[in-house]
Amino acid sequence: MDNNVDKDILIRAQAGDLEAFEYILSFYEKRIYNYCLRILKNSHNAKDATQETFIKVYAHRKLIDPEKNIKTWIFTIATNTTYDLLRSKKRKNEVSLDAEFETISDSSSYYEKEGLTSDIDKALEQINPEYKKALLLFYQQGFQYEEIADILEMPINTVKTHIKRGKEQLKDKLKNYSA
Amino acid sequence: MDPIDEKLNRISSLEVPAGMHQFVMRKVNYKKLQPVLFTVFSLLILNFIVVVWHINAKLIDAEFTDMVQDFFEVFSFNFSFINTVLGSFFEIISPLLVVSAVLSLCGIIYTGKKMSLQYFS
Repeated sequence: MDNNVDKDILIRAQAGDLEAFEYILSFYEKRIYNYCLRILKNSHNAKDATQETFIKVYAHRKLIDPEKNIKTWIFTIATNTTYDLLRSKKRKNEVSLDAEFETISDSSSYYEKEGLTSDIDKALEQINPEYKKALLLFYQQGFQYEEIADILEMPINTVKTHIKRGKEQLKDKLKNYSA
Repeated sequence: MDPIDEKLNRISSLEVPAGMHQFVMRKVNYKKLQPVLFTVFSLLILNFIVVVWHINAKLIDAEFTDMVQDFFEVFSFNFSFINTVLGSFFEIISPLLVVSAVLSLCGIIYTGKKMSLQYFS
């Protein structure tokens, strides 16, 4: 599947064309929602974060560079929005201080409720959240190392390490399911 | 390919919740209309200020004293009162009020045009 929106649509969206913006929204909403859902572990919060992400995209549409990959930019906004949401929830004590680091026992209701019942889905919820983000961006969203480094604001080597360690942790967790 | 890679390539994706797309488009439409709404409300406030100023300057200060004067001058409050009230009414319809009415009308037409462009184009 093509991972990018046409340059013409990006130019129109940049100029404030709502039809072009709606096309971008339709193109990326599912990917952004799934990414937010995996980080926030709550469909309601993931919906809020996705909506907020696209409203920010529209508000900052002048920053769209038709020559560049808009996908990386949108995912960077989504990542920051999820962090902001987690911070605000923590301030209001709506989630525990370590919500991002919740264990399988805390999040089991989330993935079962959402229908994420395969072994890999369950195992993903048990690994370090930083590794999980890198793995999701690499495998589920199809980003390159450089793009993940931009989105997560970390060096490329750290991204590679996170993916490698994430896979190791996943293998360990998957052994428990096959055993 | 490592079996773990194969599994990772098959991570499930969930469908977007109903209403999310529409919510974002509603918000974005509103954001686009914000400057129009700001212009219309500014025009309404300007209109209100003009009307208040006009009533205060022309009707209360000038016409009310005229009315009282007329009342005492003719010693008959029947016709003089009606004449003064009618006179005051026609005094109110001044070029300033016409301008403010035109401004309001322009604001309403502008908003209507913008909204129909947003929702029906």
